Amino acid sequence: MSLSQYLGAKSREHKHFLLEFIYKSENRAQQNQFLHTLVLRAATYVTDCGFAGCVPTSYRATTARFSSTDAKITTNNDEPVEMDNPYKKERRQCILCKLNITPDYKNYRLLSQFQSPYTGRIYGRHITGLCKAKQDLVENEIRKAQNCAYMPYYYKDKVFLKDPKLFDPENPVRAHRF
Amino acid sequence: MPTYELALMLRAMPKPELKTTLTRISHAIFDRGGIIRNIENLGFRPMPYKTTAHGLVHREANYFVFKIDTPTKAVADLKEEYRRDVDVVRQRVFLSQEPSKNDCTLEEELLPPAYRKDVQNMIDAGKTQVNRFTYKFKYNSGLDYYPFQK
Repeated sequence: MSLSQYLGAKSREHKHFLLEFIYKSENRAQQNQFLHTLVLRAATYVTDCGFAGCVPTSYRATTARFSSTDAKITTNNDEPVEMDNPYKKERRQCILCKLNITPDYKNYRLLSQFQSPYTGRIYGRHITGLCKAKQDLVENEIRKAQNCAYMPYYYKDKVFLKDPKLFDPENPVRAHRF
Repeated sequence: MPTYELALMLRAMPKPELKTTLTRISHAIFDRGGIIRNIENLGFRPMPYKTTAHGLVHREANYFVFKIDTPTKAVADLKEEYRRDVDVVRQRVFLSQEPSKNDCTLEEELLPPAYRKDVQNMIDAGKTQVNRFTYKFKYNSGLDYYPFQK
């Protein structure tokens, strides 16, 4: 649907005639009224086919103009609203606290994820990213599991070598001591 | 009576023998006034390191975990009995622990040092100490000169 169709003009000439009529009209009031109806009809018809070109710029958005004295607008919608800080960051949690896991010496598969595959040593808190309490718990449980011969001391069980990585030892939270 | 976890490694043996061994172990607990809450069988699997027990090298073991309630004084006695048992390769007793319900403190730990509570405590403790770089010894003699040979 083109603009001329929408305006009810049969042909391109007709449309131009209409516009010409608007511009050349002697009667200022008649011209304004005609333009107003035209704009109201065209406002719902969203098109970019030269609409802005054929209507004066002052009429582009004249569907509804509210003034500060308008009774409808003077309700206090603009007052500040009581609400929580929307930019507040979410509280970070370590992975074991987030998933609510308590490390246990019998669950040596989980514990082996905190062990170096090369030396069997326990990774530090700056690598594992655990909170203090959970890291202590993990270290104690690993020591218990190693003592119970569930877990090796000097290497990681080769069955668990392809387990998913919980952290990257190359990118610690804080710098390495060495 | 506190709850203990008795982690036992039994030597590789046929099933009927294993049964009698488990019965013997259980009766030792019952004889000392304890009860068994639960027995977990973690299976027969190779040990991560070889273990010598009763003159034999073990590379595989049957893993069992007994959850027992027993008087505290009986624990040492039980351990001593199992140490003499030739079928027990290795044994450990742990106090059964409840899952802790503390909140994660990771957020506080990741703050810059000046905002961390433990660092602030350390700084406060340092302020109570004598600064050895600016400390000057006072003679308290009331004299404006040093009375002894320097």
